[in-house]
Amino acid sequence: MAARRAWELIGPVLLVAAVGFVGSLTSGSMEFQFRSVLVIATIVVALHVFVGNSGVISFGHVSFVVLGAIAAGVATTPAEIKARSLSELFPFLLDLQLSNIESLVLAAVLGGVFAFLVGVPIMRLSGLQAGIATFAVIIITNNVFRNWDRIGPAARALGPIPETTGFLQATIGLVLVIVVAYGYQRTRMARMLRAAREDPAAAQSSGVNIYRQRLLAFTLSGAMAGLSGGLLAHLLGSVTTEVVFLDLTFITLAMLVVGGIGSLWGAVVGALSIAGLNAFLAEAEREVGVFGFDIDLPSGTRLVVLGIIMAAVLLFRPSGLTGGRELSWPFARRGRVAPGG
Amino acid sequence: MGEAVLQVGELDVWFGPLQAVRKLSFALQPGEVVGLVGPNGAGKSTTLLTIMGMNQPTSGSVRLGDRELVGLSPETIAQLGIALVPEGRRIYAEFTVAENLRLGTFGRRQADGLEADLAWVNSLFPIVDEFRDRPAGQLSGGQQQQLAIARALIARPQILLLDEPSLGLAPTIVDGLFDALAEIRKRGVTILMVEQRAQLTAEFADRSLVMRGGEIVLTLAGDEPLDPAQIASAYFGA
Repeated sequence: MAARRAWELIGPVLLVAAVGFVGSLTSGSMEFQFRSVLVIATIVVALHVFVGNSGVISFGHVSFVVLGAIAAGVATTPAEIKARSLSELFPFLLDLQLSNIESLVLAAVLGGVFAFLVGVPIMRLSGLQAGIATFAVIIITNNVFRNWDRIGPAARALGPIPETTGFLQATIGLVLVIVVAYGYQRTRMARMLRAAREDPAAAQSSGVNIYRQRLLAFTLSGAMAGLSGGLLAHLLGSVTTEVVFLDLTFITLAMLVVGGIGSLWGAVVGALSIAGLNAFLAEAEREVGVFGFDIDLPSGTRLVVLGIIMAAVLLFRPSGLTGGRELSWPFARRGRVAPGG
Repeated sequence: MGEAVLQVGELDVWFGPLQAVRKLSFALQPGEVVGLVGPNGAGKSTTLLTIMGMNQPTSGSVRLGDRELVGLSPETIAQLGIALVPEGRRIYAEFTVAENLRLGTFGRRQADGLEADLAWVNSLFPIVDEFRDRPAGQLSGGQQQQLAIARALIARPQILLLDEPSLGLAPTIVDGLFDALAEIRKRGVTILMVEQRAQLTAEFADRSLVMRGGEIVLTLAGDEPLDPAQIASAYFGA
């Protein structure tokens, strides 16, 4: 039983390590795409912690990613460049200089605090209402960041941000969020939240405070999304509010749905497979050679193909590629069926 | 009559233009088993759900000892010592049997005695232990009902609310279920049960309240012989 449970963590970590290792053997734009895949997967796992456990769809998680990205970017962009190109920033932000790791911690803390503040009113909602409210959050956040030049680059690009998200950092970042997501899943709080996902009324009558559990998961998930934003900023070396907006919202949700919304394994498989395909299609839109053939896809193909895949999965395998189940122990025997009665 | 453990007073519940419960008043004595019977739409399940805080009454009160429950959330009411076994079992099909049972502990007021309660529940419903690692959705209907009651009992409730526990079960399984309820009664747990099987309930319970149109129209004492004509009249009106 213990080995079976450990496998639910070891399996995803081994897959991530394998992707990180293979990626480290590549070079050029392919190498960058591999690192992107790992960072995007970090966002998806963060999203899973809330969406997977609560069953409530969040369109707003990219708000925490953009906050983390801008916070980490502002905190690590050299002061002399900020003074020159972002002179409207609040003075304390102009003076702020943090190391790579410190900026990631800041991104995670801010992501968590923002998620908590947003979650206090929104986590009282359920179903479609909660989804629409979280969508409002990403719209508001994007507009605030795009127009308020005292806290970020506004409509301009933020950078140059030190590009410290190499393979090691990207892999460690993803493994860290997987470990935290797994650890959370094993807690009594997560069990309460999953019970509420399955049957809110039954959970309440068992003494589960659904609002409190959702808020807790939303905050934890927001902190992880903030960290992912920090990793993203240090991957790209330059951030605009448009890079971290609706495209990213759509694609990360698509990864979660394709992989299987209810499990950590589904989040990892969905993220790595769709992010990999997404990276390939992005390259193909700029022309890429595969086995001697040149593939040059028209602009926009990427999102069309991903949309079709998402719709196909919803049609033919609604619970995702993994069936929404954790990775099963490969040496398990099939159990007998309970006798009737 | 001693001091009531639960007192329902002048309860009115409306769903839009429809009144489901009208000026309903009754009390449960400690350790008493009370049945709520009556035709469909009589307001039986609404009464249970209102006690549990899942419906808000328009007026009236529900008191647990000297504590008013109206306005409290279901989880608070669960933590105060009332457990509901909802209609249709409502077990968590994808969770294992053991996980389902563990969820019942969230409503416990005290941590001590859990091992002993678990042993008792296992002796009452051996399938809970036997199939502990199996997804609860794989259990049969009767086994799921046993699990649902076990999950409620592990919270060590003062009052157990049962909504249609025999619904959809074969007669032999229902007999086993009532045997288990008899054991639960011996423990001093107060039981309020909604049932369609009026005769079985009336024979088992200390009292049965026949509801129609949201009101109590007849009270049957458990030791009284049943008069089918009187029951039919209470069910369908004179």
